Amino acid sequence: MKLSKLARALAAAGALAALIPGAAQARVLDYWVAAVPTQWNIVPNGRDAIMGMPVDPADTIFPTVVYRRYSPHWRRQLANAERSAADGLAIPGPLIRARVGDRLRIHFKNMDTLRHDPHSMHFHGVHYKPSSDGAYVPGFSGPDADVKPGRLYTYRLTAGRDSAGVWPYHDHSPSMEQSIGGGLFGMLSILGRHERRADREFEVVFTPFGKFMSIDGRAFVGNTPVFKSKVGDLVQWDVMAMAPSTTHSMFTATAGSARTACRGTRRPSVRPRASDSAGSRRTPERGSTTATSRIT
Amino acid sequence: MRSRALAAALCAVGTLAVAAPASAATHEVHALFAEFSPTPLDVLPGETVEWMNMSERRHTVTADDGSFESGDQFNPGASFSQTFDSVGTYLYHCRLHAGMVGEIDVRRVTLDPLPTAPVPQGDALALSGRTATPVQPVTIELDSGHGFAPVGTATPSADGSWKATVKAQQTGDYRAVVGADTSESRRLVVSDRKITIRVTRTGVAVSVRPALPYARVVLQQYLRERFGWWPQKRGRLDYVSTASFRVSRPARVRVALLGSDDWTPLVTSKVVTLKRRASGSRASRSRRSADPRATAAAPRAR
Repeated sequence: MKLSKLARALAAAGALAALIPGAAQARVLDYWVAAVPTQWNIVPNGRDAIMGMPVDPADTIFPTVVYRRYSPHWRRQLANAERSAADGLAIPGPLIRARVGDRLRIHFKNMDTLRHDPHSMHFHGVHYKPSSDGAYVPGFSGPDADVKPGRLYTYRLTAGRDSAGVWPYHDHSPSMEQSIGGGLFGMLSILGRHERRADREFEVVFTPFGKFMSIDGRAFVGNTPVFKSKVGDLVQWDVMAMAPSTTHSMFTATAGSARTACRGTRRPSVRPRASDSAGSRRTPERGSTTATSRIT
Repeated sequence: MRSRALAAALCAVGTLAVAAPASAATHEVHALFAEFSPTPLDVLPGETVEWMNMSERRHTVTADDGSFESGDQFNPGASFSQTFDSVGTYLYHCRLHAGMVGEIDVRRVTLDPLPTAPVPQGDALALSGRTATPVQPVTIELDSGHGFAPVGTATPSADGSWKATVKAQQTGDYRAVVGADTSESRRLVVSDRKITIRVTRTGVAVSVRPALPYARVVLQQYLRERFGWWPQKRGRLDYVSTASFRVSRPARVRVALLGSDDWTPLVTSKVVTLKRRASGSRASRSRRSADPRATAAAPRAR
């Protein structure tokens, strides 16, 4: 009797070990992120070039709070994504890269000296305990969902086997309605365990911003990001639609838009990949998709 | 279906009949997801405002004082019209969505919005607007701290629209006046600073007069892929109000002095074109392009 119980327990433990991918050689990746105020300009070149119309700076320039990537212990501000297209690229937030099986520690600091609002980070598509959820529920959620100005919180995440793909993260604190509209969102990019890392990774976030519809917080041609790669590069497009609930619902964009935006000398071949397509479930929830293309 | 179309046609005819006696001008206001646009809107007496629901949800157009009301059937795609006959300010809101408010200003003379960005001193400023009495001339008045004083006049055309050009001399409030009627006063910020730019061996140098030490400046480069002038490098003036930028050739650049929001240009320098150096100095050019700071100002290699 005792022996069979022990055997069952051992079997369960074995099954558990199999479920937790790469528990033996799990990497731990640290990211240092802060919510910081900035002056954002939706239209830096000041015009709608297609219509040849100037855009009123009063509609495009405003202070807002964004996620920025930092060096350890928030010593120095870093670029939000390597070799990115947008200047400064404060919107979207830091591109959090990992592989299936990795553990992530996201050290978050609220440096909102603009509105002094609480903020948080809430991640889709990865595994975590309730204490790393970051979603505010009055009277129920903990400090993870209500990081007051000047406070820190570390979110502990695991990239599970079902986490491969591109996922959104965003503010889910009491101030989320305003914060997401102001640019507090970003993407997790998780590769399969043996998947080749792309040479270039382009982030495309469709979102309403101020009075405009934007890509990466910028509106009108020339202001929206210009993506560049070399012939032969493997290019990964991380495409996401983000809509705060106070504005129009938007749906996941398709890989087709990736083809048109490409600046290769020849036509890239686009092969869509498995994704979290909230859009395919036809819900107005936030979702993202990823497509990999090779410029040949 | 047919009866509904007929009803709509009858409705349209009815609206026309009401609006026809006046000048029949109609202004559109869009009801968006959570706002009315444009607001506030200036109209002349007797003109009609048509609200159109361009959003995906139901709204109402309800006057704060109850003088007009769209009713509950202001659904997506629907429209609602109201003619304003007497001068005054009409505030309205949406009963369903808190904070969704708007304003119609009925005036006998109007002044169109002025540039929100500061205008360099001495520049020609184009003013325009409309008046309900085209036979009377429009006087432009400016209040730069000592009360309103006339700075120009305009002769309205037969349809009531007027245009005038004045020289931007001082920061102040502009308004248009016809007899006893005045338009809304609108603020114009005039910048008296000048920014001079010269080409140096490594790029450009600028100086701002009158001096504004430590003010923020930005180097803008004309980039085809950016469809215009694009911020390349930010900097600050030094203690004698000068700054210099490294520029990798060839480039068309200019420098702008920035306002307190770090983006709005207060004044912009002339454009300078930095040509590729003559082939004799190839060695120095290759050394320069190896310098990461020099290439930072250039568009990334294709």
